[in-house]
Amino acid sequence: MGRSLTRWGAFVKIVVSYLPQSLKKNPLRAKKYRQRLTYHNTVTNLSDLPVEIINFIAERLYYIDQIRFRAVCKRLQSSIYNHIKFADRLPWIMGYNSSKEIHGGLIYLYEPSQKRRYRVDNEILVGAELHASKFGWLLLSKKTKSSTSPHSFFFYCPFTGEIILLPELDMGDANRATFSTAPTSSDCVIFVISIHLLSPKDVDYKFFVSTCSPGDTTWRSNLRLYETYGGLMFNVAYVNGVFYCAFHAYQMMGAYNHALQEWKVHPYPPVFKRPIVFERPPYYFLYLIESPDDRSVILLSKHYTGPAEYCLNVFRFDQSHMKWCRIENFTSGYSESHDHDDEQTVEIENLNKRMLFYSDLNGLSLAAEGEASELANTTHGNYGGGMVESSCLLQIYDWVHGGDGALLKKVWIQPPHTR
Amino acid sequence: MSTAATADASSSGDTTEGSVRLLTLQSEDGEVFEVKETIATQSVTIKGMVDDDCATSTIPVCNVTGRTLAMVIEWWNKHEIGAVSNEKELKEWESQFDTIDDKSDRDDVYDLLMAANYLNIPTLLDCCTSAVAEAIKGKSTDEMREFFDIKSDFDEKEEDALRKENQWAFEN
Repeated sequence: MGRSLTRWGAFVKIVVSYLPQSLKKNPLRAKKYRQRLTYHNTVTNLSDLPVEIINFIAERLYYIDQIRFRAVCKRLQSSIYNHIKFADRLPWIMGYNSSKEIHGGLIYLYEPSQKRRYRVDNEILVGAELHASKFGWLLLSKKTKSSTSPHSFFFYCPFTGEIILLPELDMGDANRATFSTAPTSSDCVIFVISIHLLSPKDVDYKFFVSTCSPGDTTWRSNLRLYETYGGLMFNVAYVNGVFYCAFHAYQMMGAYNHALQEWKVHPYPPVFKRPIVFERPPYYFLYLIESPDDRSVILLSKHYTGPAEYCLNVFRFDQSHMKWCRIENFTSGYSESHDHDDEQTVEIENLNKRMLFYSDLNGLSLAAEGEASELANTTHGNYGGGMVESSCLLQIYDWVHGGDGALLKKVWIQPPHTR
Repeated sequence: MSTAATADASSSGDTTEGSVRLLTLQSEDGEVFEVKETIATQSVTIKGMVDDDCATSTIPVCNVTGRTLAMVIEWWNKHEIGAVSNEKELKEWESQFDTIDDKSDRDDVYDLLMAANYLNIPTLLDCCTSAVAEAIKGKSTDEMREFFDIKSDFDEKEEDALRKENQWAFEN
C-alpha cells in the first residue's frame, strides 16, 4: 500500500511538471520552471543515489558486504535501514574448540560467499557451554559458584557482540535447550529440558521443562515428571509453538506445547522399531530439523551400516495429524534390511526445493532459491569435530576443513536480521 | 481500456498506428519519443496514467534525459513479450549492464536506476541494482571507496568506533 502511494506521488509529479504553453515560448523562464520541478540533478556518484535505491542495492549484498558497505561514508551509513534483507542463502558455520565448554573464549565464523574464516573472541565465552544457535544468536550457559542456581544462562550474538543476560537455573545432569524467536523480539521463549540422573535430590521429580523470556528474573518450571526417558537426548527443536526433543533410548520424540502446557510423546516412525542386526551393534544418530515454513519438525536419521557407511532417512512430523511421513527425495541408501511391511504404514511424500542442514545442536530447512537452487534436495551434516558432509557432489563446505578447521566443533549459524 | 484509446485518438499527442496506440514521451532536455503503449506500460507509473486516461497528450518525463530515455526504450523493446526468442538471449543482452568498471558505465547505471525507480520499471531496477551489488561484493570498505570514488567523511575516531562495532569483519 505504502509503495503504491509513493508511485502515485511520482505520477502526480509528472502531471504537475507538464510545462504550460506560455512557458514554452520563453525558454529561459521554462528552464527555471523545470529546475524548480526537477527534484534531482544527474547522479554521478553512488552515495548520491536516493535512500530507496541505496537500500535496493544493499539488500542484494551478503551480510559481510553490507557491513563493509555501510562503513564507506556517512551518507551510506545513515541511509541503509537496520532491518533489511541480505543475500545469504547458505548458513554460515561457527567453529570452536570444545570438549564441553568453549576454550579461550575464541570462536570462528565461516562465511560461505567468500569462503573465508573470521575470528571472534569475547571473554564471556570462556568456559561457556553452547546450547543453541538460531537467528544469529547463541544460547549459552556457565556454571556459577552458587549452590542453588548453578547455571547462568545468556545470549550472545557473535556478529554484533551483543549480550542478553538470563536468570540462573538449577539444571539436571542431562539437559538440552533452545528458544522460539530472536531474543530481541517480544515473544521469545527459552526452553530447557533437564533430567536429574545422578543426584536424586528431588526425590519426586526427575524431569523438568523450564521456560523463561528475556527480562525475566526467574525460570518457570512448567512441567515436572517422574520419568527420565532414559536420560539421553539427541537435539531439541522449536516449531510453531511446540518444543520437541528426540530421546535416545526410549525411541520416541517428546513434544511440549507451550500454550497448552501439554506434554506428549510420539513413537518414532516404524523403521526404527526393529533393531538391525550387524556384526557390530548398529548405531544411528537422530537430528531434529526445524522447518518453520511448513510448520513442521523434520527428523533425519543417520544409520551407520559400517564404519564409514550410512544411510539417511528423512521424516516429517505432521503436527496437526500427529503422524510421520517419509520424505522420499532426501532418502539415500535406504537399507535393504528395513522391514518393508513397516515401511508401508508410513505415508510417503516429497519436499521439493529444500536444503537440510543438521548438526548436534541445530537443524535448519532452507529454501534452495537463487544461487542455491542447484542444492535443492541436498542434506549437509556438520557434527562433532568432524567434516561437513554434503549429500551431493558439490561439497560447498569442504574449504572449512583447512588448517585446524577439521578439529573444531561446528554448528550452523545465520547472520542476525537486525543490527 | 482499448475503447477509451480509440475515443481519445483525436486529441493531440495521441496517435494510433494500426491498432497499436502510440504514446509521446518527452525527456527532461526536450527530446520527444513515440513509443507503443504496449511497450511503455512496462513502466508501472505510465501504466497508471494510461489506466486513468491521463496519457492522452505528451507525457513529460522531466527527470530523465533523452539519452537515458532512449536506453530505457531500448530496454522496453527487448523486454516486450515475443521480442526475444528465448530467455538465454535476453540474459545475454542484459549482461551488457553487468560491467560497471568504467566511470561512464557507472554513470549510465545511476541514470538508469533513477529512471527505473521514477518510472517504476521492476525488471530494469532489478538488473541495475544487481549490477551495482555485484561490483560491491567481496570488496573491502577501502576498495569500495576507491572503486566508486567516494571519500570517507568519517574522522579517525568515528572510523575506529565504526570498525569496533563489527571488528571481526574488518580484520584480514
